[in-house]
Amino acid sequence: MYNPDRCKTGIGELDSLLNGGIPRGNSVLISGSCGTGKTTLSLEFLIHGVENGEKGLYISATEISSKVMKNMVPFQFFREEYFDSGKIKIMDIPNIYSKLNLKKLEFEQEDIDRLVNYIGEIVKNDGIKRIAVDSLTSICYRLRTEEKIRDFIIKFEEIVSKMGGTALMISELLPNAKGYSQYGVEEAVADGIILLGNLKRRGDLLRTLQIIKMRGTSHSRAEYVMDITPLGIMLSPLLKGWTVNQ
Amino acid sequence: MIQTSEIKRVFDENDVVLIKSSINVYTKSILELVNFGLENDKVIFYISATVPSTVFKTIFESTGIAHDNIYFIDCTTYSFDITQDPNIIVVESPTMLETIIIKIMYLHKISKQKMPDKSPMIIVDSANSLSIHNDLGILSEFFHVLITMVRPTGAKLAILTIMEQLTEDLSHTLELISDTVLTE
Repeated sequence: MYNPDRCKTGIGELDSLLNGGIPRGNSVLISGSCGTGKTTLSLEFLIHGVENGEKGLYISATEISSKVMKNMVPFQFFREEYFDSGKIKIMDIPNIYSKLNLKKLEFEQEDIDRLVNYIGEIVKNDGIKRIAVDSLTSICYRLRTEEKIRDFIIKFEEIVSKMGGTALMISELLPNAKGYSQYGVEEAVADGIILLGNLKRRGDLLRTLQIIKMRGTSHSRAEYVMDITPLGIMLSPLLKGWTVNQ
Repeated sequence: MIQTSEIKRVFDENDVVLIKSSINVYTKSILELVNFGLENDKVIFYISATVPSTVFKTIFESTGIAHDNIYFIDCTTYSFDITQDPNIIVVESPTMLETIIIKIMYLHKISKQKMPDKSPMIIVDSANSLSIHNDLGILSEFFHVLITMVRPTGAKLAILTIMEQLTEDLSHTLELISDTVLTE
């Protein structure tokens, strides 16, 4: 059933765990180390958005967008025409920095404002409802201090919220990281956190997904096994019986 | 050997059937089961944890069973022999039980797209083999979750066991989670 207050990710099991989807206006941290499926989840979210009449923006900061696109071709849900027609806009962060003449290794307050305003203009002019920032961590490298990171995220969240949109902000973690973000401040400011992990079990490496927090909705807190299939991301409950004899 | 009429009777009345078959007629029982499924408009998801899927494909071919509507989830080849066959999905290890569940749900989705009128028949070959790699705790949880997830799809589930190699504990657990037991 369509619920105007919820933004369906398009990943059926995840939407069920979120009681119907991400509450609209939320900016959600997708945290995980390498190979956990962060980029796939973000793009599936954007593509599903177009199928529901919502335009998307993908801000790529870790890989050049053409490479990201090439990796998506094998997926059945991938629609190149959505990108060609501009229903999903792709922007490489180095191009944005260059356009805004942001050359400093550490941004000043005015640089942050220019960056946020620029994203805000695109979102407003193009009527964008879904945004994926891949990754927030890369942008944070140029912000450096907790205060600037907090300021950037809060201003970004304001844009998303005002537009009635929904954003995924990718947070890159080291494999043995304790928290959900590299600087700590991201997880405190974000409206939600979805943690993607790699679980090593008797020599198998299982991808996992767990919703840590999501403002505005009740949600599952259990850990699920995630698989990236040609149809996209699918989930199964994590079996716990294996701990019995360990 | 299990007779087709018996298979029909138990699956008319039940969704989850534990099949205890003697080792001497094990393959023949599988062939009966597969034939029954195909003749009753089912799409078959065959979880092969005992013998590689390619072996069964060859057996089906040699016995004249059309295998277009048989999809294998192969847990025995360990990715050493990754196939391009669209009807075979390799799961790297029989210990990746959650992945097996996801692959079943994935096959259900794609078969629904291709053959909306056909409902799935899932054959687990075999609980004995899965028990070699998994302890009883996780194995019973696996079957419980699997049954819970596939029941709403209208699927029929056949759990195969080799009678002579069945431990009391495993037999008891499988009887608990199944709707009925069919013994050869």
